Amino acid sequence: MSNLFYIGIGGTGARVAEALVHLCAAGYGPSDLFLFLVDPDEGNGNLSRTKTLIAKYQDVRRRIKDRAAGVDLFRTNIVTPDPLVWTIFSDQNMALSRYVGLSNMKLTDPALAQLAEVLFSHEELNTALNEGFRGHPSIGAVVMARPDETRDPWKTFYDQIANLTRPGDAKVFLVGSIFGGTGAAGVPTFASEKLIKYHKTASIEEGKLSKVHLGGCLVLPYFTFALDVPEAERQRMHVTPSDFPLATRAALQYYALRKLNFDDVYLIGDSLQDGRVGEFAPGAARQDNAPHYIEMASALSALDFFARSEPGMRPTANYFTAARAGDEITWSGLPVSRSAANIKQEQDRLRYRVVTSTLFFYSLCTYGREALVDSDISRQYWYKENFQLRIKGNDEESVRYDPRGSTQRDVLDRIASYGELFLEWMGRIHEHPQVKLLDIRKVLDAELRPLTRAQAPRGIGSLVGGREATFDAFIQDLDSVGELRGNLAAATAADKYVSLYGLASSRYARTRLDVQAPEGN
Amino acid sequence: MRKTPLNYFASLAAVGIIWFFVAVPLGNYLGENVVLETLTTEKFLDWYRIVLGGAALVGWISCVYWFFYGTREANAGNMKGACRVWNFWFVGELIVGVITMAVFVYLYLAEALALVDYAVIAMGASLLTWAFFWLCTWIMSPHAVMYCVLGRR
Repeated sequence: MSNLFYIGIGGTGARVAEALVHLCAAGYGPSDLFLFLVDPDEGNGNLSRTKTLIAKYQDVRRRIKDRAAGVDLFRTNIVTPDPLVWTIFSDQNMALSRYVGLSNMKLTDPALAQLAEVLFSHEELNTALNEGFRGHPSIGAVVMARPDETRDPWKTFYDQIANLTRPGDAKVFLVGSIFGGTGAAGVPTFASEKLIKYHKTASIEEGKLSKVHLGGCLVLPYFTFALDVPEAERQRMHVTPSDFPLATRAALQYYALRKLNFDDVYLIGDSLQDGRVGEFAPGAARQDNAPHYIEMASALSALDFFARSEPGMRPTANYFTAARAGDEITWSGLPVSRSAANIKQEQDRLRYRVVTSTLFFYSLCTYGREALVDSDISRQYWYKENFQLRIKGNDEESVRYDPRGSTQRDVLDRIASYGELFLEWMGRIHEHPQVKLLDIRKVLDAELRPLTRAQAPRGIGSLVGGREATFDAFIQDLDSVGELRGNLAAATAADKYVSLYGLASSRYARTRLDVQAPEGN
Repeated sequence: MRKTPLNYFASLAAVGIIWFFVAVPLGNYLGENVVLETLTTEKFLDWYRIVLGGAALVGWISCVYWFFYGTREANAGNMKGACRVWNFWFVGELIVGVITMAVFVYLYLAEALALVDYAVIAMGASLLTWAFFWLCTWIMSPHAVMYCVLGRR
């Protein structure tokens, strides 16, 4: 059972979850994590992408049973409730007026109905909310104030909290933007007293203490989009980038005035120079923003909270801020830790994990797949030492030990499929010219698909600036792994494949690219 | 034993030892048993040892080249090419063995060597050429190319 909880609210929360899942796939995450999302816009492109990613991650992790020491890919056990997303409404055409029962209210409590009509405009009361709150967090605050505790995802969440006993045992982290709709509404609402921090399942000694240590990442404006608003949308509620600063200011003033129950708050943002993530879309599948490095930075804040926050009663929350010091985003500029003493070590660890996982996924998607159809592979040392070209014996052996057999091949294809998503995500982040983490375009084509070995014989060795190495050197490193022994000797072919490529990636990173693993990594 | 330059020195030692046993005990046996018409026994043994020494040197150089080839980065993932190279050098050593015998036949044409004597010489030449190459590459090839050796594929 996990005691670490991530709740992603709105589109930004989903995109930060995407970054968090990729960091977990790289081996940078905790050992267990409970995760769910909140978004009324069920068809949102950002949300769909994240849901697919989480499902693929869990599928891959379930299929990898054994791995070599030091290969920490997919280490994190990400647990999700069913459904993964709290969509708030079961009726997709719900409007605020119907949600609060305004028609009935006019008959039963006219004064209250009039108050509602004063607080909310006609548009706000009658716009269908199936594409989110359209930049109007006041709507979201009303509808998110009372989640259904008898149904998932909240039921499992509260049940897990109830099973914990000591103050601060549960670390709950909320992520949302404060300049949009859903996140701006959800973050302060969930941070109110009775919803999470001092909920009946979390409260100790009648509200004096809490099992929950609550953190939040408030994402400030970091992107813009093309302002070509279709005519049909201009008549409806929608948000534009010019609304962001004002919405942000209003939200921050609200947070400053109102007592929210965060223990740790992270504020992360970026200027809007070249931060375009796509075209205008009010919601649904059309709203599918490209990944941005700020989402990775926000995911790092979650990991810092899980690893380093110290539960305890404090009169005020800890506030952590992060923004760019200069124009370029390099490893030394990423906010990885609240503790000055270990920032460098954590940056090195992050760099090591991301570089080795990029090497792993790229090599598996290219050479790893080629090897499974190459008849000459039987003479390749790394293959010959660990697999037989043709399994002689019964079908059970073939199913388990032959990487070319359909069962193991299917597992490897699923891992490679996840790898393609990881590489694409890295590629998209690097589309922002300030991002200088990897030279990822050396291994990806214009559509962000992996280049083959023949197309980029030196690509893999150019990922890290200032270094030159070849793909052949990677194959040498695969050979140098040799025969896998110990618990891996009887492992499935897919598990061995993962271990081989994982160890080779680690060796290649250290010896060819001079990316060292910090001590204790 | 498969690491460079350990395999260079190990193969040199191996060929030296084999040459010694072929050149000295086996050579002495031949010297005592061959029927010589024109050459003295010392001259016979001198030619015998020099020619076999030359064949051994070629055999060793072939091994060294193969070991060097097997450690080159560019060859790590090209097994088809690597195996072709091994085959080429093995056939080359077979040819060296044949040439070595041809040299002996030429040198001892005037002598009355029996077929069994030539068979012994051929065994010695084989041990220093193609058999040495095969055995050395079997035991000492770099890991990347060890499965190109005949019998290991």
